[in-house]
Amino acid sequence: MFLTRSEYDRGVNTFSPEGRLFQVEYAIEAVKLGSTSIGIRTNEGVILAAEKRITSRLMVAEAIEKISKVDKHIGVTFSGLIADSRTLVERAQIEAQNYWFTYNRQIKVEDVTQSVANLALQFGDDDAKASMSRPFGVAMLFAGCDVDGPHLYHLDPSGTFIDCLAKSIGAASDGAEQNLKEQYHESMTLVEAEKVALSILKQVMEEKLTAANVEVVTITPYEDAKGQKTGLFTRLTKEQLETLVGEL
Amino acid sequence: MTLSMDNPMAVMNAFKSAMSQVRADPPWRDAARKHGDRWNPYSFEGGSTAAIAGEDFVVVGSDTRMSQFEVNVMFREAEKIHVLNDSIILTTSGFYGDVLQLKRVLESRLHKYRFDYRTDMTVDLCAEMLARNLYYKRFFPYYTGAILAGIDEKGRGAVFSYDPIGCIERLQYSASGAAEPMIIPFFDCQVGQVTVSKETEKPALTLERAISLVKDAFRVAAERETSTGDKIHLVVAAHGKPIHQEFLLLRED
Repeated sequence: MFLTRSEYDRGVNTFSPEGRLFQVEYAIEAVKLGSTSIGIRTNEGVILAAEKRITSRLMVAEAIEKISKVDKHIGVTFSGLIADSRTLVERAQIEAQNYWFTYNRQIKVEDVTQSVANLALQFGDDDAKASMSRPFGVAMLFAGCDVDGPHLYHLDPSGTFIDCLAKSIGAASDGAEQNLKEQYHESMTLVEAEKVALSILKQVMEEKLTAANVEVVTITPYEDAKGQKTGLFTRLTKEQLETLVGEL
Repeated sequence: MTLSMDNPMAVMNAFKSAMSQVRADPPWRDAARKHGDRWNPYSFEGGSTAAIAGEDFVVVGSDTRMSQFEVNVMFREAEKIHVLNDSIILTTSGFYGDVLQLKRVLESRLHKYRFDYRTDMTVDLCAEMLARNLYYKRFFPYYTGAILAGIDEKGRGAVFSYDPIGCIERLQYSASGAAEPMIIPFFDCQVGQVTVSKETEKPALTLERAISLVKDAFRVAAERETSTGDKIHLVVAAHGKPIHQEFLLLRED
């Protein structure tokens, strides 16, 4: 399989005769080296749960952030090359603030995802205008609540994004996704979704699941002072995580 | 220095230099006059616009006269109402160059919004965006009194009023331009009903009443205000209906 690839995987924007962009496909593979993240959308809001890989007991676990806040109503989690994700998260944050500044309104989750997807495709080996010389090696899960209710979007390094009910990315994404398919149902509550996400993480993680090596964020719908439907980003505290992990 | 007629050339030269100084800076030109004579990047082409919002409709009116120094009519069909999309109407008076530029800026922003967000901009969003755009030129403002009208996201009539640097206010009715001081009190009485006594019967604001009030406002303005006249441009937007436009004759003197 790798024999056929050898000639066409050098240039980032050169198609192989079979019509494939190997560097983009490799970038999608890079995502599978990252830690696992799960997102579940329910009618009561969206949750994101992410594994934090504590590779040494000398690491400060609290300093690792696997779920970032994009705006008051949108959160994002990522797997793969974390350094690459910084650029993309920053774009999302800027885009959300820009929309708020111009229109005095919270941006839609889909529109944030779209703008990050546009950036994900801006790579090339000419240094003239391309800001990135290779595809971004991260997949992301955008979760948020806007005028259309709760949303969960999956974005991969090829710039494709998909509206999901539940999705998993990272090393154990295949196993986790199988579990999600079995356990997901339309009338899931937010608390139920938290439990499902954590129990799946518990199953697929290599280390033992504790309150220290997992991160959970919920985004719940609410109406702001102007009567606009938006969301509220809440990060679960260590105590809340401990109770949740204890109940598993 | 005292000059004597013993040296006529010196007297002549002194006179010449004093004369040239006075010519360059005549003492009768006070500070205000000096300021007024400087080159001015703005001009003002007169005319007036007004808008009334109802429960599920909005009526926008303007005249179509373009004049200079309040007497010289340059054009009788200058449109001051611009329909930006199915639910947004921009109406402006002031410096016509800035009016056209502002309209272009908004049109291009609306066009780009359609591509970026796959939907038409609503008047609520456009109103905020216009405020940002006006303030963006805080130190060289568009010399326009803008009014943005339309049907908002909830299907209600909306009128947003602006000053040249983007101070935004959502009102039930507004007017802008040369006849603003005449139209506003009229609307205060007939639409806002703030100047009528409690006992007076207060008719409800129907679409028909709003249209006739706007027409009346411009007929009154054309009688008394020289830069307003020629035609009434009337634009009516109602929830769920296409925007309707018509022109009515006004006095041309």
